[in-house]
Amino acid sequence: MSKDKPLKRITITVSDEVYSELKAHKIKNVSEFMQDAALEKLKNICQKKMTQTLTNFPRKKPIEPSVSGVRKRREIKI
Amino acid sequence: MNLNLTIDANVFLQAILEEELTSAAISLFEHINNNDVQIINPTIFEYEVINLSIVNKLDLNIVDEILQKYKLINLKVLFPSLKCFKKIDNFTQTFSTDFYTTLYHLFAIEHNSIFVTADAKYYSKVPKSKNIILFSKDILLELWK
Repeated sequence: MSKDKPLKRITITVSDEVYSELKAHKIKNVSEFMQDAALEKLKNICQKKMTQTLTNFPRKKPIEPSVSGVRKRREIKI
Repeated sequence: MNLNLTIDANVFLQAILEEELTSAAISLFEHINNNDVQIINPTIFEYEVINLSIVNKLDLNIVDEILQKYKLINLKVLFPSLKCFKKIDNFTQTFSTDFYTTLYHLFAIEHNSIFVTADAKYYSKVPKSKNIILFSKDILLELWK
């Protein structure tokens, strides 16, 4: 964390379970812990959304199929 | 087992087109999403996906959305190293392969990942190794056996 930026204090209320978890892991830097947790949550949301977007993608029968289409472009000689 | 994959554009495109192995391609990407598998691809991957998406008149907004989401989580796109480029000439001449598929393959070797390609013609020309696998309906079993 940058020294020239003042730290902001926030108070959070956590369940007994989370509190025990924090204590058990001797987590002193709660902000770092929360950032990791937030990132993990964001990652989970993105993963779910990605799967949804891919599953619901409006597919079409190809005009140029994937394998031959890609190969055709790759085989152009210089 | 932790795997890094280098996914050929022709495999990704099967997940967004309506083709014979589309359900296998979707399963592969679902598995990648749910198991934190890292995809590490050369920069050309995005150009190829966009190129064929335009040819096939797919919705580019959604294609881009998928690519961006993958880049946020599982997909790392890197410019290949000079070392990789230097090996291409010898490889393409030895095995009569094309520049770009060879680039994917050598990139996978360099990054210790597995190149998953749907190009059976390319696959048949090159020596089989732990760094290359042919995409099939059994790809999940093949990769995580």
